[in-house]
Amino acid sequence: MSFFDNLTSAFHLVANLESFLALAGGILIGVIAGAIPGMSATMAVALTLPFTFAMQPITGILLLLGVYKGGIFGGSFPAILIKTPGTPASSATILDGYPMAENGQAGKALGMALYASCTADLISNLSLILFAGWLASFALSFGPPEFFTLILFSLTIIAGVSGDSLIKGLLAAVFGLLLATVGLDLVYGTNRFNFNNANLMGGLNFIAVLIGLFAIPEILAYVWRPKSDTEQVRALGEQHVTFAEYRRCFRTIIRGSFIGVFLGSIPGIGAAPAAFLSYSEARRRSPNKKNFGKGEIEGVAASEAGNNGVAGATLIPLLALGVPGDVITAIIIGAFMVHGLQPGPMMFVANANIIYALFLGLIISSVLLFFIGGFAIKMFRYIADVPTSVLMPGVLILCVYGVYAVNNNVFDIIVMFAMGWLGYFMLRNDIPAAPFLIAFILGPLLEDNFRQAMLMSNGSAHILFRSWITWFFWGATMLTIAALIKTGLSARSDAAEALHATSRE
Amino acid sequence: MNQKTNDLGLGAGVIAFGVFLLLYAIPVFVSAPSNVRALVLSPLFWPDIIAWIIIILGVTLIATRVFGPPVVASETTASAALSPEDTPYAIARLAAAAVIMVGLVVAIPVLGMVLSTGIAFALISMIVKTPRPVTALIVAILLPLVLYAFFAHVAGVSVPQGRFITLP
Repeated sequence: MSFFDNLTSAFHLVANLESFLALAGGILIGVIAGAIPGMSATMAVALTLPFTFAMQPITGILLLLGVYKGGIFGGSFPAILIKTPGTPASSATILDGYPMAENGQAGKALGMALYASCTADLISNLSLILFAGWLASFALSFGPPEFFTLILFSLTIIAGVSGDSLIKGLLAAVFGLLLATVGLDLVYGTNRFNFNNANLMGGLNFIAVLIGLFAIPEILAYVWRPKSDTEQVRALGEQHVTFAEYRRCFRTIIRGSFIGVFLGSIPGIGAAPAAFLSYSEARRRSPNKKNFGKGEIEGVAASEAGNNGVAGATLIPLLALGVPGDVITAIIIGAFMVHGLQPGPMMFVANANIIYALFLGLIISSVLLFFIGGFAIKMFRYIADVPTSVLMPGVLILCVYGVYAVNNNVFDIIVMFAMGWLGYFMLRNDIPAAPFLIAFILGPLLEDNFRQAMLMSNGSAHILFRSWITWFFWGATMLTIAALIKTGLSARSDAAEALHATSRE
Repeated sequence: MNQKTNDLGLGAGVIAFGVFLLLYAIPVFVSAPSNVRALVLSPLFWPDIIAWIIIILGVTLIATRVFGPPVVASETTASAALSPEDTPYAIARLAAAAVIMVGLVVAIPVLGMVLSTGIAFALISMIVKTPRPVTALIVAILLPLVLYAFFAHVAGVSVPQGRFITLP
């Protein structure tokens, strides 16, 4: 099909009431979930996933993307109004958002968060459209050795930056790879850790693993330490952002958006570092740098532009290479797989109409976010009133129904609970769950490409160094490990010095 | 238990698990055909590599904690810390949650999804001592019914009905 055929077909897929409702509903769910303290965008996307099984592929994926985008913006509500980030990505928004709320300008801070989020979201989506196709056409020349080294590089960077410790991140990734070996061998079809149990022959259910890892530990953490249902919510106060204020922050928003796009397109970095980098750059360059941290509206604009700039860009490695850049895109890849679609360069050839439909839907989502976000600002007081003691048991019930719905099988609920306890153990021991899940998803792909490469070369490892692309990824992997070790050592030295200084005092 | 002791225990556990994989789990639970052309193509190769990496990472974790600078617990770990008086209650709540989860899995085929999830909701609300028991009770009844309606009638999922109540 030609470009125009694909575009026409994509237009037909998106230009219907069902797709619009999915996008709008997804954004609304995401904003509400992001705004509720104790929920997160990740949990919201994971819990929404089972509801998409009955939908058309494009409708289901648009719903999840809406939840993702709404969730990232929704996280700014509790950050500004109750000094609790709804998502880790909103941590930087607290720095100036909460002081603004204390000064009676919560509505203004939320308004700027909305404008910055929508602008950054649009820029991020346009970057996705511009770069994903180019990267996918380049990746079409990849063979198994190139994909093996690419996935190895992605896993290394995700394991390294997801937590405080490189070793624990790598441990999580390796355990994810181990779990991915459960089932039948990819080449010979022999048993691997399936104990002759028919439920394990096809491997562990991906959705049971992800919901278990990302929703159940939050419930268990709440059971361990139940928190108060009542948070002190600041009044909205002065509600409007003037055009002059938006224009003053425009350069910061654009800069933050591109920081988000750049960091978002690298697997593993995520929205929180982008928000902090955007914030620090804005403070460094601003003529009002002394106001930063005391309620400077430019600070809110910078952090929200940084974290929303990531939202579209994380889809670049997902769509073009089939490599999820963070946990949320790892969940979204599940939606593709449930509907028989495999993201990656071949999808741009075989299902180009779906790719174009996603692009169109994403552009529409930026506009919808503007209107739904504006409505949600006025409704926040009601959203924040959802009591955690009712929310958490409710999440448990949603998890049970959602996981059962995948295969109509109680065994998946057992897997979910087992993963939930494992996730809670990891949470208590500072072992990040993101590398575990992403390694679990990419594990079969990594092994499959490795074994295909070995079959091609009759078992010779030379094939893994056959082109400049493999050399590039090997080099990038080594550089990443070296940089992570150096950063980790200096951070620990600083922490040790601080500890000594405290003990001397 | 401080962070260093915790990590040393974790490292030791990881090494023990890696050794268990190499010596018992992989030879017993991974089958390989006898006609494999090359070692790297064997179904055993990948699990073996993973087990060795697990052992190496366990040793590295212990080595960095013994010889490296002290480590500080993360905010998540620190916020989970409770006073000695509260800890037994928290452990009891977690144990109760585990029992509820096991009970839920056992109860679904007998009582059906709606009834068992409703009871699980109410029990979880009880163990966290919800300050809004009436709201919790209403949600415990309505939420499973709403989810049943969606999954059974919209998504076409065959939701277990149990032996006692049959919903439309």
